[in-house]
Amino acid sequence: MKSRSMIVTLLILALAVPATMLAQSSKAEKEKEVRAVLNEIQKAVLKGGVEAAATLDKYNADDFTLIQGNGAVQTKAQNLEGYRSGKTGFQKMDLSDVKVRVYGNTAVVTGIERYIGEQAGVKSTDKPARFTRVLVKRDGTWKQVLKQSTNITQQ
Amino acid sequence: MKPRLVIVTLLILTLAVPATMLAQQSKAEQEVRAAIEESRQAQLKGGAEGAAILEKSFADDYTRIFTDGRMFNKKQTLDNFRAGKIKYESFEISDLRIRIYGNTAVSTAFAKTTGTTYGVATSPTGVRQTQVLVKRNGKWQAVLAQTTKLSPATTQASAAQLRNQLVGTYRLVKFTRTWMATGETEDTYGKVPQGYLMYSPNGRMMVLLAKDKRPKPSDLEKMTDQERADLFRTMIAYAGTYDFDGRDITHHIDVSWNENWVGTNQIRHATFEGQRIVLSTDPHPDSSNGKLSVAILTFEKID
Repeated sequence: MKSRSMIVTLLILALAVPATMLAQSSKAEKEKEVRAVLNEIQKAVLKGGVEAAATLDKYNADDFTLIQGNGAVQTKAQNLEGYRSGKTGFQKMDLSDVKVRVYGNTAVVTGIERYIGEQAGVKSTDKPARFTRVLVKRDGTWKQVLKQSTNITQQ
Repeated sequence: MKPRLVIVTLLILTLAVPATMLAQQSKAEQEVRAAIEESRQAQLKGGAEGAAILEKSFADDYTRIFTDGRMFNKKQTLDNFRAGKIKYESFEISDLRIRIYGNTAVSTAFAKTTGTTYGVATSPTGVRQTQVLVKRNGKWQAVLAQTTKLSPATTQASAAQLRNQLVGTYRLVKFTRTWMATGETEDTYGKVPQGYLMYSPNGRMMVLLAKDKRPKPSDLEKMTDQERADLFRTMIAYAGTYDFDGRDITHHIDVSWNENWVGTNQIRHATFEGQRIVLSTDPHPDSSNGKLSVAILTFEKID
């Protein structure tokens, strides 16, 4: 290998390695941000009422879609109205087995949830459900665009 | 550059930019729609053949959350197809909504399947299906799929909710026909067609459409058969029940001006434009010349 091409190769390597590391660390950073948003949402949901609605207003995108465990679909407005009117409220919200996958500015979160409470006339009685939450980062803020639950009836 | 030219150029630019963005958006949406369709067909095919296609449709970190809450990875899912544990006889998707966020797409749909999955018949009420797709190396691949069964109460409520969008009385404002071969459009029932369409909250419908400037027989008692035929040719009327899935309205006809349509299902694609609803047909051969055409009817809600 000629010395000039060696230098070029070394230079490319020197530039490429930190770029890969940077991408990885930013992925880890994004996962941390997403988990922090989930914590905020969890705290707010347990507070309930207008406080829950205010936090969810911040962390749910305008095109947020909620697919409940019974297959019913709610928009962002319907979801917030549920909290404000008291028709939706929870005494327990536990998340476990939470996995976050980051694809650029999108995060796909899966896990198991247990709720005690009521959402739009449907009672939750601590039974486990598998959930997905999709969050998109726009203008520096992660917002949920979708949440879906599927009741676990088979292990 | 002359000022007028500058203004025109600026105007074109302001108009062109969102149009380009829109075009890109719809291109990504088309690609995702095609990827979802390919995956649907492969899943319907099933077995080793279907699995070979799905191998490429699913990303390596693919996760499938099944209707009973179990979670499967890519290998498990493909093995299940190969072993015939997931076997569909039919697989229909409706109400497909695609949202694009850069290189990620979130799609939601209503899926109705028949067949068996893990030895159990698939849900007769259908499922809400979400798919998340990511574009890598120029190809959209699914990273997640989740299905949630609709409870009987949800099925009833969502059918009623969709119907509520339609319920009311509409007046016909335009009725055109576009010929597929030439792209030419003509007014089917003249410039000022007459007609009303009604959808009831309980699922019944009724429509009466008439051409403008219809011949008026001078005497009801002495009407000729030619006059009767001319009147028959310039109207459409039928009644029955209807279903609406958010996109298509199906009219199940039980009484019709032409006996030929009794017992048939007439499907109309619906789009909403403010107080107006536009119903269109699939391309179908015209009864007079056999050429393919699409009928487009525009109605305005009057109550």
